[in-house]
Amino acid sequence: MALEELRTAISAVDRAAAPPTTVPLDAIPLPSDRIINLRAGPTVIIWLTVLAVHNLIPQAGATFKVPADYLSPAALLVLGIALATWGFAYIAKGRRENVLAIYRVLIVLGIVLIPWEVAERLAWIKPPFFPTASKVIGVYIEDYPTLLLSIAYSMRLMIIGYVIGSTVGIFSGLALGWSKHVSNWAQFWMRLIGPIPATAWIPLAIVIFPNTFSAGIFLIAFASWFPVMMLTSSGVAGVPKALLEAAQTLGADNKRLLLHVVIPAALPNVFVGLFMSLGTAFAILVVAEMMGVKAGLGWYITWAQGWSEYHKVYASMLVLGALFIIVVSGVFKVRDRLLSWQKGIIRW
Amino acid sequence: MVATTTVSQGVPVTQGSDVELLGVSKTRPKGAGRETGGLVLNHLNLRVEPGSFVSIVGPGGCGKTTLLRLLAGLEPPSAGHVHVGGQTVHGPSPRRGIIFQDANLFPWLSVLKNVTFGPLSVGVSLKDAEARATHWLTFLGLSKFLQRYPHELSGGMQQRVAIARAIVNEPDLLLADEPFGGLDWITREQVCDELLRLWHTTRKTFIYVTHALEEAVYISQRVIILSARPGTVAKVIEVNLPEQRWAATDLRFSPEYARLVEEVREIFAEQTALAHNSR
Repeated sequence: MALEELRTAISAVDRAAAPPTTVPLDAIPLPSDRIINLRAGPTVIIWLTVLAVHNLIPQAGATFKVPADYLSPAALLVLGIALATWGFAYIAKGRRENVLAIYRVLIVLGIVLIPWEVAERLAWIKPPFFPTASKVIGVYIEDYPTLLLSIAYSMRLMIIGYVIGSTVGIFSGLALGWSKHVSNWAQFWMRLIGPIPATAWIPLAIVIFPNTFSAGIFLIAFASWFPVMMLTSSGVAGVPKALLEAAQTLGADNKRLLLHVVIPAALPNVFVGLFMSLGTAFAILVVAEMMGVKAGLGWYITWAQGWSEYHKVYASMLVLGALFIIVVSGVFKVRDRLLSWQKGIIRW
Repeated sequence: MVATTTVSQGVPVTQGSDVELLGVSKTRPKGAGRETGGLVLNHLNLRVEPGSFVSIVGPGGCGKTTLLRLLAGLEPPSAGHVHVGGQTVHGPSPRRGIIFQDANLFPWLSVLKNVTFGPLSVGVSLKDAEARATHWLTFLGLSKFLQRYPHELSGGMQQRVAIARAIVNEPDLLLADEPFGGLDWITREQVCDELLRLWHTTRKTFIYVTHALEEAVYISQRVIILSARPGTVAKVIEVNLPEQRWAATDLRFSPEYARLVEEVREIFAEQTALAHNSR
């Protein structure tokens, strides 16, 4: 019986030594009233300052035509949002982290706008290269049909190219990582061709493809293919040998090994490749549209530049940034679904 | 107390396969991450009766793991023959299960799916696979953790899942390579008992590699002591302890157990000394 007693004693000690409860990372205490006030107050003050600077400092230099004022309504809208979320933070305490995130964005935006407006009012910087904030906002109100159409065209080119490129990338990466023969024969050529910047293919792409749209798709697909292929193949090659052996001793044939061990094990790497190629694909998208595709945000930027309408250039740059955020978070959503098993292992 | 537990309920039918190693040698190339190449196993002869539980001990680097990998078919021998169930081993097979030093579970699969992986690989229907997996996981006390992921389990529980995964295909031979090396002693004893209970229930051939001499004596019917590298069988010690050892709580304090451990320890020390002298 001695051993049994020892066991009971030790497990009792174990229980006593263990911390009573562990606090999970997502159960950090909610931001207090004080923190909410410390963010909301300055947000309101900063945006009141924006409004004051914009309306109270007289415009230096001669203005032969007073342009429409979009900044005042925008600043009022921001103030409205700031006040509304302030109240909201007290009703929905669970959303306080989101409220704080909004404040952080508004505070930074306001702090950038104040010197910009001062410089603008005192005529320290000159249009058209540095337009007023009001004119940039105005683009979204006055020119939104063209802008929306450009977004649609850009997204079409981008998504088609990216999907083709990353699909080819995943399959060629699997082949390269899985088959010794493919790797022996193709590795050298892939490494030679892959790193050539997609932009260097422009002369060839224009000649080979019937129109600039298909040439653009080729360039984007090429740009997204290489990172996905390299990371997929290194992911496949890096699948722990022990897992493959375990699967083999359990009776898995090659097909099952590939589908149920190699691919899931390589998937985290594949997603790193997908994220990397998203960046290059976006860069090439703009280049492709600037080089001759007759629609899209890249085209819009070139076209606006031709007319010296730099406010449109900046407005569409912001749109590009926002689009990238949306597309990336879409890919993140897919990853979160497929790789939810990783949550407990790595930091997200 | 001990005496009463020796009486087993009738003679169980043996389903395990016999294992035969004839003049098995294994050489490894020097380099490639290994400082010592050359002969790992030297003309090793060994026979394991069907349905028996045998453990293998030996000085570090004597080729215990290599021996197990040859039996699993994960590596071919350089010379000699490896027969399991009367057939020459060619590559891995679900007829020969293996439990590794690390649990090696698939981190993207739940506990249940880790265990159904084997049956589904050999063409068992999903329903049957799940029933079998649930049966063995319950046997090993994991019925509440079917939907958990491996990283949510403790080391001992992960190793239990690995045992269930290896046994669910109902292999004729179960190989274990220091499976409980990473566990604390209390957990280790518990999982050992479970493995023993499992062997008693299934009556398959179990080959268990370990570096814990007491454990080798406790768990098996025969302890095979390998010589220093290049490994060959130095001595075989019969362990005549009652079969249902997990039920005999005083077993570890019995004089017979102590004598056997001492005997194994002495031969082991001799072999280790030989290994040092030969260097």
